[in-house]
Amino acid sequence: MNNLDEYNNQVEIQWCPGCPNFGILNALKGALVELGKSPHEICLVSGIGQAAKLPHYLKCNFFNGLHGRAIPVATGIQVVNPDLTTIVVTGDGDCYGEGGNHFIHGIRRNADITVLVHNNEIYALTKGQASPTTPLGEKRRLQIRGVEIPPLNMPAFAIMQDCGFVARGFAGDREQLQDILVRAIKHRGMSYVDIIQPCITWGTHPLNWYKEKIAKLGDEYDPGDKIAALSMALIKDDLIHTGVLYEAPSANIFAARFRKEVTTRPLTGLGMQKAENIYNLFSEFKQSF
Amino acid sequence: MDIHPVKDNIKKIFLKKSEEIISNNENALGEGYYLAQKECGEICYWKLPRRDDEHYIITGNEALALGAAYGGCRFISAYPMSPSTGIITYLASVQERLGIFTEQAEDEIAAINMASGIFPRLWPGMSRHLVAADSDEHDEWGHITEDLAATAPAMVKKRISKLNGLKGAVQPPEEISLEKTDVVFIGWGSTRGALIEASDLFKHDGINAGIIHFTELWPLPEYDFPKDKTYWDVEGNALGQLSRLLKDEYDINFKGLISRYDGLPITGEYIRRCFYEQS
Repeated sequence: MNNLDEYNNQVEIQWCPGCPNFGILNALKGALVELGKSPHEICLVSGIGQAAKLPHYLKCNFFNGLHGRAIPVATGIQVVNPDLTTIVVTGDGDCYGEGGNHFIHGIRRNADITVLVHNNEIYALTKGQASPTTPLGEKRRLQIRGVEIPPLNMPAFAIMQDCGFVARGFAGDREQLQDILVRAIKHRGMSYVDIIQPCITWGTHPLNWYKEKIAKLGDEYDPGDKIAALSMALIKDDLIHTGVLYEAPSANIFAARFRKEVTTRPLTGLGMQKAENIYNLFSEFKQSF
Repeated sequence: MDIHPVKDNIKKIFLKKSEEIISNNENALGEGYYLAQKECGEICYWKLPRRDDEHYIITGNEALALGAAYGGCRFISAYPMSPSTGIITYLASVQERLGIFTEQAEDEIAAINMASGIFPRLWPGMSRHLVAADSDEHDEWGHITEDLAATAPAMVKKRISKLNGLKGAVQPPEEISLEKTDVVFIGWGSTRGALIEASDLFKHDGINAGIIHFTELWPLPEYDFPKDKTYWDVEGNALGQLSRLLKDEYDINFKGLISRYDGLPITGEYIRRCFYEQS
């Protein structure tokens, strides 16, 4: 019943022709079809940047809000409407820079959302300045003497903080990326995928440079082993290790206690509470004042 | 005011502490009560007589929270800071009874964004209709667009028409004692109490001081300032922001500007002193 065409819409795509973002878009559509989801069951949330335009390029509910603020918006959406599949589409500047605080606390909060970070290691929307993931020493249009502060390693940070699903994908490998996205969306709690997305306009290296560095995690790799996962995220061997780095069942999913003790129904559908008489209402609650 | 209920409460509050602590507190209360009676007993107009029927005290924050919950609110995200902290604190304490989810956000901008994620009109996923929300310039389908010449003017016109609607809904300024005035003080927001206090003080001096007080400043409401009055501006900032706005929008003139910018609250006495210094 589901097919890729169901997700097509008639919006002109503003990415450069040949941009690896198309690979991510197609992998995401593929994953949603594979999961049997229809557009009305999906809500994509984004901020500002090239990645943040993605929700416009497929049919779905979407909230393209403020720079860096997608994770709090997605948290609100998920809490009141847990039946929706809520996915944040963001970039390294939007998520690790502008919205870094929300990413950190999003991991702690562990809402049942999926966070996809298009990581091109630069600010592409503003034409190529350094981002929080640009390698040390790399010369950029604004950092003409080379980047002088070290990059963030967010996958390592996320594993350290027990984010229940941490993966690295590559925009140039649709098949593997689609598999990762399916698993990420299925995971209960916050799942996080850092997707290497080479920029073909402002980036330093050609696409093949990345392809040669990709090393897929094999079957012998155990994503349930936290220390091994952390070592893998921290390793400096000049390769890009792709696959699910870390996966653990989430113990505390955001709002789980509330759902258990108060209501399991979506808050969006609860409607109004009735109060006929203000004196009775105050009397009923007076012990709580 | 009867001192005994206060004494009873002191006993209740310090029940688990020593007798000495209770009696020290009672002594402190007695000293304060005596001093207040002696110094202000005659002039204070606040009376708290003992009542026989049952009463309870509710704070504005608690009433607001309860009202919001019964108005349909099911989710609150907030970052603690007075004066609003009491709202989420209260709702958290009665979360189960009201069925309202509460969350302390990592910062204020996270709090407002969590709340905006709740999509006020149509809930995504409740039907096959899709919901689109976009912060950038977009077309009528909610999709971001680069074709600004074809889209932006119509969107801007739409937003301006909302501004006109707001103009009709905005609260006009409050007028206090505007008849037979010698002078009118104009202020906004938290200076209201100080303005009333100043007006009382001026009465003792034989001056009739009126007040025009704004609570909503943009878009400015339709309002005719009486032509035959002398206006003074009272504000808690160095440059008289409101006076500049009112001069531009209503073309009124101010005889004096009473501003306070040392970070302390404006008081009636402060207004009175500045008035005489500038007169």
